[in-house]
Amino acid sequence: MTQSDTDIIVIGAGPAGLSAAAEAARLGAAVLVLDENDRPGGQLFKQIHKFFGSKDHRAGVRGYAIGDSLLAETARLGARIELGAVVYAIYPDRRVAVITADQRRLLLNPKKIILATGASENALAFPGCTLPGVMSAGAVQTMVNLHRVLPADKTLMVGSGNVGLIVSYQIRQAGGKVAALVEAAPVIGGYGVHAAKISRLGVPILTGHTVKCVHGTDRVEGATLVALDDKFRAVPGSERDIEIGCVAIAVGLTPLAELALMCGCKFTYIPKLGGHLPVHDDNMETTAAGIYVAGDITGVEEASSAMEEGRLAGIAAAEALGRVAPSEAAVLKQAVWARLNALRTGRFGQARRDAKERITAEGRGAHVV
Amino acid sequence: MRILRHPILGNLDEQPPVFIEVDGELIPAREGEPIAAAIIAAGRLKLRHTRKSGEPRGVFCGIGRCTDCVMTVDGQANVRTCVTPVKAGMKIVTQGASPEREAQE
Amino acid sequence: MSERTADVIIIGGGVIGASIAYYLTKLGVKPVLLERGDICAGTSGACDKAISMQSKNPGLHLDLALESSAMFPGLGEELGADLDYHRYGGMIAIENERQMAIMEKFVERQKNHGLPVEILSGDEARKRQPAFAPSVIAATYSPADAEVSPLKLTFAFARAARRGGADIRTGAEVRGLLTNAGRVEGVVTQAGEVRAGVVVNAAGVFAPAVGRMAGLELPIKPRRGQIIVTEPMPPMVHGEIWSARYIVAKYNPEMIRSEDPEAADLGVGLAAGQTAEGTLLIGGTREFVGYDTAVTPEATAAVLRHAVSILPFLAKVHVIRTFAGLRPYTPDGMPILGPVDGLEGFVMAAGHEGDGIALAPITGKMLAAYIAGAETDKRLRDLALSRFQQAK
Repeated sequence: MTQSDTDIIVIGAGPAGLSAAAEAARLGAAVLVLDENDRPGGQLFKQIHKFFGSKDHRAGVRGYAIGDSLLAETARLGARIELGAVVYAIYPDRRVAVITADQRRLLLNPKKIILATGASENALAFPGCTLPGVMSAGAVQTMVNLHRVLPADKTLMVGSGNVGLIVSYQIRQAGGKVAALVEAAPVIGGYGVHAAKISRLGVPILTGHTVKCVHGTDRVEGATLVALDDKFRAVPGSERDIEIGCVAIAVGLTPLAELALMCGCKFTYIPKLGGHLPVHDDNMETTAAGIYVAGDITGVEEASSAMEEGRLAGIAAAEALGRVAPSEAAVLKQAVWARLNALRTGRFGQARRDAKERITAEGRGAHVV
Repeated sequence: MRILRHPILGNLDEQPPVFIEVDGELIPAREGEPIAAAIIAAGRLKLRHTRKSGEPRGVFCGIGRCTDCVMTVDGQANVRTCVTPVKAGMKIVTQGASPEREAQE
Repeated sequence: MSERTADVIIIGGGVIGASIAYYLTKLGVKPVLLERGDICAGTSGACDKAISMQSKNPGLHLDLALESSAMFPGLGEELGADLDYHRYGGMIAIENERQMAIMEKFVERQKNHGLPVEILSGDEARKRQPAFAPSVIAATYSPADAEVSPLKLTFAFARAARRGGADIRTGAEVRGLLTNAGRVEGVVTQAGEVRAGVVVNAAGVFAPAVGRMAGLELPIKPRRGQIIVTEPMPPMVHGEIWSARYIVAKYNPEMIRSEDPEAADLGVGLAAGQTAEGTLLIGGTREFVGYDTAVTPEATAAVLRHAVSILPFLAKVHVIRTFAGLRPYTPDGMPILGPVDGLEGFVMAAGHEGDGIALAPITGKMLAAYIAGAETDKRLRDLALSRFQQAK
């Protein structure tokens, strides 16, 4: 890895970062993608389910296949990907500090930076929540689908958003059992079609329930579930014990926005999108000039919208470098926005679109150098 | 436990295992998978003890953020086993206060 | 707009302001403490944990430090808080003959001022501190060096002061000083005026701005110190460790130039200690860069290069964080304390550079006694602002 001739550094080789890199490289920018993991693709390769949406959004294609084609596209267009590379700082003068896979320390000086660092899953506090075997649902999914390891015979799933529903299904696909799926709210959070699939497989979905505690000495051995009333208070006497070896926690994600904080970007707080987020404009540029964001760091959505946001950031960064005429860039960006807006419709999408519009409203014309 | 057959992903390819040593015990692993995956596949979820009270901890986030899975690998302490690939012959040791030692103190 | 009257106003909620507030309440005076941000959110919250005796210049500086040091052992109990205070001693690693010559003289003078300190051979030093590199040719050792959590200390002072009746207000920015005929009459904050006959300037690196409100030019400048934090690990070092270069950087940074020009520019010296949590705090730099609190890759590299040369095990340790704090530097390395000629009621308590934690108890006690009219420590004359004004 050399620091000469890097126009754009993309941090994160997940769906957003790879899409950004592909688009910017297509327009002639010299792009370097850095990712701390030893394989690219972010969380796409553990997603063995078919994506939703329209044909434009690769509906019906499984996540890992989308990852394969994104990687091929990025490589074909000449963006370089450096793996095992930890970005530990972005300094006020925009130098990017990296530790490489072979433990070398580098200071890179790109013209533009695109942050596509994703999100991490939330924890949930209850007695026993630190016992080995209490894992994020995403960690269970990675173990099961990527590494072909089932943490335990029987799992308790906590949270009925799409992650909880899909991972429950995938545990069953892999031959594991899901003893129950509990959801504190009175209704299921995710798509009805996912819920129906696991119901048909006999997984009890207990809305208005939560995990009271988890027991075990060196590992999860069982859990006590409890019903909740309409004010989310435990209903006395409703406790029941189940025997399980793993608890998967699917209670939302929080954007990994530390690097944006380090850059001095202005933040806003939108709980629906995961909490504290860097604001950005219609070009995905933050209030720190030359620093762009894309994907879950801008608010937790899904891979499809992350990829579109990545493309937007890639086009905008290339445009800012003069690699593409503004008139041409406008056409390209408009096409991406049309696809993004199509994704943000319906029961779940519209609320996200409204929240995202609050971010861009705050971010427009607010650059500081 | 290993998932040998899978309706979408097919059968697990039969690459010969490599071995790693975990607290003196040899366990089979697939070269390149995260250390934590190999240890969990071998049936063990506990990866460390907390430093002061010796409480057990295992993988939580699986993406290298929470550091609950850190172990000492080939003499290097605090290695995140959920994102560090297996190499044949690695020597891995559990960190932290052991509950037995706590009890004695 | 609220207007209220107090006996004493203290500007600044760092360790110095909090200490003065506490010792005032002990004497029955109930001050108002005004802090622009939060308690311990500036210099006091961005430093290491050492209560260093060995780094003090023999003379008044060391005398004050020793007196302050004697106040620490009972302080936790007095304040009703665990301060993470321990007296594990400290060592200064000496790397070459030139440093040895300087340290021999320094130690001799310190001994004459009552500091228990000796110079150990390289081997003796490594027996006490096995982590030292073979290249360490000798080291000083003093059992008098200690450590404390600066955060716990500052908050404990503030809480105890509040219990004693002090009115501690955060988010209260002083924007002007009320004076009349050479007398201080109070301050103006964003929430209105507060009137008092005594105003204490304990604003640390921001003391010059407060001074200007009174028409005073204070010779205090922010000096940046960058500190590195490692991952937690089992006990690797005992007590506090400095390099002789740290002492040289403190008093005469130019002497380092022939050894490492970049380190001289950044004022790099080693100050290291392990916390109760097992992390190592590794300092540091001494840089004049205005009020910029950014960390820089050059300093991180230079500090670690120097640290690894003295503590080689650090080469395999992960760094988890770096931060920088601004130290209130004065030209002679001593704080500016006490009354100011020509402005009755205005009291200085700033300019401790890196000694604020170590000197906080004695500073608070001396100034509280002065303000309450109990006694005026004669040494305040030598610490007054006038020592710089006369030199002009």
